Amino acid sequence: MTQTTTRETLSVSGKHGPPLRVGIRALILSPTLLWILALVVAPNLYLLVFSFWSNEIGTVVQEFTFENYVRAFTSEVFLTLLVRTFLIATFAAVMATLIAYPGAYLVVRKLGRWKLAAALLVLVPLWVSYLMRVFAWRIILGERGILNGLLTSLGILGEASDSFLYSVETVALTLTYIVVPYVFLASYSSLERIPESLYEASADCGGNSFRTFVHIIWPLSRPGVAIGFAIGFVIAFGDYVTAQMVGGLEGTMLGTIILQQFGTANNWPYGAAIGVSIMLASFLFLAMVSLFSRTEAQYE
Amino acid sequence: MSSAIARRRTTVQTDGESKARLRAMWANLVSFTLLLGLYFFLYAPLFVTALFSFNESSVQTWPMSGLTGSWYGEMMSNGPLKAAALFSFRISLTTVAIGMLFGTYFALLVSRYVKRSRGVLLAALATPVVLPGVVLGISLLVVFRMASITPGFWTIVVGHATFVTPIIMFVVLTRVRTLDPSLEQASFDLGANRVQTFWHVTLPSIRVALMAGALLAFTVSFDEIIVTFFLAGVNVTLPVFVWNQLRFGFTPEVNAIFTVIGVFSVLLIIAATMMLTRGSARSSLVDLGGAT
Amino acid sequence: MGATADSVDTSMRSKTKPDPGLSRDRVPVLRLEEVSKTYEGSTEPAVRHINIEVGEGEFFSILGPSGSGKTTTLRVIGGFERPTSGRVYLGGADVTFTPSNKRDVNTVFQNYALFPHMTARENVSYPLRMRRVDRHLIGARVEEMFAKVEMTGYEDRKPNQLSGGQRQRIALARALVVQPSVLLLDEPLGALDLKLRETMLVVLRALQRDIGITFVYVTHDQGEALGMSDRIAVMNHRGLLEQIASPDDLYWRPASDFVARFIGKTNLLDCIVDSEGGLVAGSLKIAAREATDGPTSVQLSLRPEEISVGPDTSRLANHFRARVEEILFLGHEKELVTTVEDQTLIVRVPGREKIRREQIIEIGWDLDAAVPVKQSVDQTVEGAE
Repeated sequence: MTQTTTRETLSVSGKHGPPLRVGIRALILSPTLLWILALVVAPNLYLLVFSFWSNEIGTVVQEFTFENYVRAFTSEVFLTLLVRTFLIATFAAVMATLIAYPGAYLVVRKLGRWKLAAALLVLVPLWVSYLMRVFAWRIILGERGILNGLLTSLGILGEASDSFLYSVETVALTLTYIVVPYVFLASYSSLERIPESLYEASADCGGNSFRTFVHIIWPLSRPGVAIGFAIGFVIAFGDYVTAQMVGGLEGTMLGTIILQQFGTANNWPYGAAIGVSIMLASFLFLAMVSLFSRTEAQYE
Repeated sequence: MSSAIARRRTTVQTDGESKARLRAMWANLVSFTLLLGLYFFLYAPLFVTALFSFNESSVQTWPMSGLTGSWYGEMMSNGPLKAAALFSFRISLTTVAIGMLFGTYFALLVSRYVKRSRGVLLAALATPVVLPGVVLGISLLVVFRMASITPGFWTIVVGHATFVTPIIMFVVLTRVRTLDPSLEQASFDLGANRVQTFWHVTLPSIRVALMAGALLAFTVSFDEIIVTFFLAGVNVTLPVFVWNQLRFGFTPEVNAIFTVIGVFSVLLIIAATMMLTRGSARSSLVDLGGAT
Repeated sequence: MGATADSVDTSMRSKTKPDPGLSRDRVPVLRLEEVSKTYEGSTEPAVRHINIEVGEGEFFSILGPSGSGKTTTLRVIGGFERPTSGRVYLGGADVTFTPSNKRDVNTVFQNYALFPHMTARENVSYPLRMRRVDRHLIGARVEEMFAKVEMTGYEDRKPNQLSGGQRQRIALARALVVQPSVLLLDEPLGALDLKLRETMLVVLRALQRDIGITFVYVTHDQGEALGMSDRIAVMNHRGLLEQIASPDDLYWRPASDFVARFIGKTNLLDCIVDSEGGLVAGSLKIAAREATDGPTSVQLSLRPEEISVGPDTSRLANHFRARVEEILFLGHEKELVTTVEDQTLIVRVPGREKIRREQIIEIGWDLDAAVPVKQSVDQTVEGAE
């Protein structure tokens, strides 16, 4: 650990040039603080405030009320969607982890000097149009889509089924597909950081590859996977495009209500309350995941 | 007698050898099959869409009825589509310019001039990236409404800047961390002031990372829909335009649009990765991805 | 496996014996037979035709410059690399294709490779848990190991809360807790500072004597190897074995110019045999016992400390006047770079000796002092340190 004197922490680090005067330091810092204030603090604060205001026939009345939250948490639609959205997002994150983590493990362990290229290949879909990645599943799962075409021509299905598309399962599957690269990225970078010598040390101590994984590799990569898992969950939880494109009525998610409240229903405070709920749920989930997955380890 | 023992020993040895080889072969076979499965899952949907952009029929039917390039032709003569694409370009270019300026400034600030509050600053700046898209969208919308700003070009640009700037910041930051501080010290030592040092020493050494971050940021901004949807006014970006088209009925043209955007984005990313891997050995798309 | 450790023949460690070697009737604990290893994607083998036999309870070092394949050799023994050809035997059994987790060999890694998420105690218990040793037996055994490496009281620390030397001791304890038949050490002192390194040298040597387990120790530091080993194998830049011998023999009777130069400092004299059968290096006539018959040219290694200085050197077989060109003050000694005719010789004198540059001094050495060495296959010798 490097030692920092109190002097250094208080004043500007002298490492990168002559020390700065307090006035200049404030001048250098102020645009950042302004940015954070205007683009991070203010929006979230206003959203919170908005969620406590009331709404009268499409116009916002600046009067403090709990009404929006009471309405939300007594509304059957909202609660159903909350549970459904939570389940879909959890399913997508779990599935994506089950796919991405073993994949990352194999890439790191088996591909040697090709591992970076192989990892990049998993990430490429992230940069292909988001809508395209969602829409592709409509082509595959649609009533006249590829899956039906294959199944009917193989004689497995007598006639094309319309049940593949527009369902909760379709939304979950599509969201899984969307978040796999994120979970992979987090898993890969945590696995890649584990030095080869720890695998060897474990084998040296008599551990076979399974026990090495259980006792060494999993505890060390768990925090990274958890981050990926949580990111996947948050992305899926706040998504409304996927639900609208492949979910149909049955696959509606929480995001869709927000869209309605800020659109046709024109009840911003209620929408804001739902937005705050989504945000709190996401952060709660993130905090829990990172709490339960903590492994205290520092590489030498 | 002794030769018999020797021979027995060699057969035992080769047995151990072949067993070890066989085991390794099986393990590799299983691994590669699983990995191929992963790549198939990731790429098949993309190729399907690209393939269908050449489908003659105007409905998405399998098997395809015939090959045609006409959807690309139709795309090229679609006026509103071209307007949306142009609008998107303007949005993304402006956003990236802002992002480059502030991203560099944040990166240098965080790595050079702040010590104790570094973690807090980074977390605050990165919040819009980890916030669920819907929440970011409506929270900005609410602020714009309170400030009586009508949605349009600049609301989208500001919205994009909130998550594009941290991305550029992280890319530049990974480069700045590997910079040799003695270079800047030498510059001060030789009598250069802060501005001169930045211009002649710091900027040239982060230029590659900055450009790569900009390319990455461009693709992210160009593709964004969830936040953009809330902030757009009369003019819409390309993704929002396409989405509206899809919501109000399907035209096979979108497959062509997707394919073009996809190819375009991937090319940009390849360029960014090549710049980074050539410039500084350590950085890569994996690090870039870590920023998003 | 650990039971026989105490009954190890002590003569094995004796340094006065010219070459302990191995008695024919006993099976070596470790044997490498014609081991070669070429890494994938490389055309040059990292090690070639390595033949090594290590006896029970021996402290055996593999010494070589960086890139000489000494670590590769160790990794082949540990089971982390498969040799491209050749065999590895442990206690007489062929283990060439036995994975490392089934070998009765443990390793102390260069960077210790302690598991960062486990406490020191968990690290040391790990090998016992992998062998499914009874839980309440583990506690006592681990405690014993902590006492042996003098780390009692540090059981609950994580590796990052330990200093380099302490990590080293934990790594040792972890490797020794299951009493392997051979302990491999890969430059274990490389990451420590000089003072700590000296302490750990003593600790290692004492520990090895105490538990009697065979140590195979890889290092590029000749001081470590000479100080601790019963025998040393010297490897050259091309992954070939130059010599296996006791430290004494290695120093005084180097087999090749490579060994002579790599171990300590030496003067190498390229001599040709003249018409009268005498040796001539440049314009210097040299008297030496060996090599008066045989080849027409020979290289002699003459250690600086073998050269005497002063007027009474005239009685020695070789006696010359030398001019001091350069003086290096080392404290207890002064190292002089001198020229004798057209030859350069390094000479050492006590630190108190008063000598100036450009002074003419008398030097001389005995008939036995210069030993002939053969040419090494590898000619790109860089300094050992």
